[in-house]
Amino acid sequence: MPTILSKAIGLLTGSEEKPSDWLKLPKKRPLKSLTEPDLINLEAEIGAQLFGPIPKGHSRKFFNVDKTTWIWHEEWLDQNRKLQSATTRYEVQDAGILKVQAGSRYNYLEGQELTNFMTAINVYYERVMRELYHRDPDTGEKLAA
Amino acid sequence: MPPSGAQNQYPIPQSIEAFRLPEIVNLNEAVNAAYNNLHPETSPTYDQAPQFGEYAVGAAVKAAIKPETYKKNPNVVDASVIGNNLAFARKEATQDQFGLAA
Repeated sequence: MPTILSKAIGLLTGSEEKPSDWLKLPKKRPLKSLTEPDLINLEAEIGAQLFGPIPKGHSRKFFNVDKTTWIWHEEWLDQNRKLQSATTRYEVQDAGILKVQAGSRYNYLEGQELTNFMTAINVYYERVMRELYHRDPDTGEKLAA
Repeated sequence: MPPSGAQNQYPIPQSIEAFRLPEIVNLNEAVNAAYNNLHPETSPTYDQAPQFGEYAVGAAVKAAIKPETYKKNPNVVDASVIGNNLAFARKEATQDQFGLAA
């Protein structure tokens, strides 16, 4: 079932191709390249693991969209069993890391929050490069099989 | 399926607070220690900024990184390098006819 997030990825990447089921490698794809939405989905699987256990009933995604954009997305059911969601966009700008949320709330990260964000993207990068792209994070060279 | 009494057990997640979770704070300390030991070159001091550029895969970032730029906002430079390198790896992967089979 396509999620709001997968639709958002489609809009952001400009691809009309619908991503495969969330967090799953596309099946029946011999000799077929993965699309950017496919890869972002796979990256998001790793990104979701960076922040410790996810409470039951919650869905959390953290992923890189492009060179300057990171997304935090969380969904949960409230006490009325209504789906709630929150999305935060982080933009890498010359002046700093801008956090943008719904309701025209935006500010530059600072202090511990900035430190944590930087740690998160460093760990994300380290793991995604090694586990998904099989590349050395420092050199970009492909790792030996 | 929410757990019973979820409204009390699990506070409504606020992504604005997400990067203040205890898990990431602990992770921060643990990873920083391990990461810096394993890859001291990727945790550069300001004076090592030119050297750091050699590790960037994205050509645009390589060209853009200057010591004065790094001194001005090292977090932005680091985040830019990561963003460019991920974009590079992702682009390469989309051109891989065999996908990411490993």
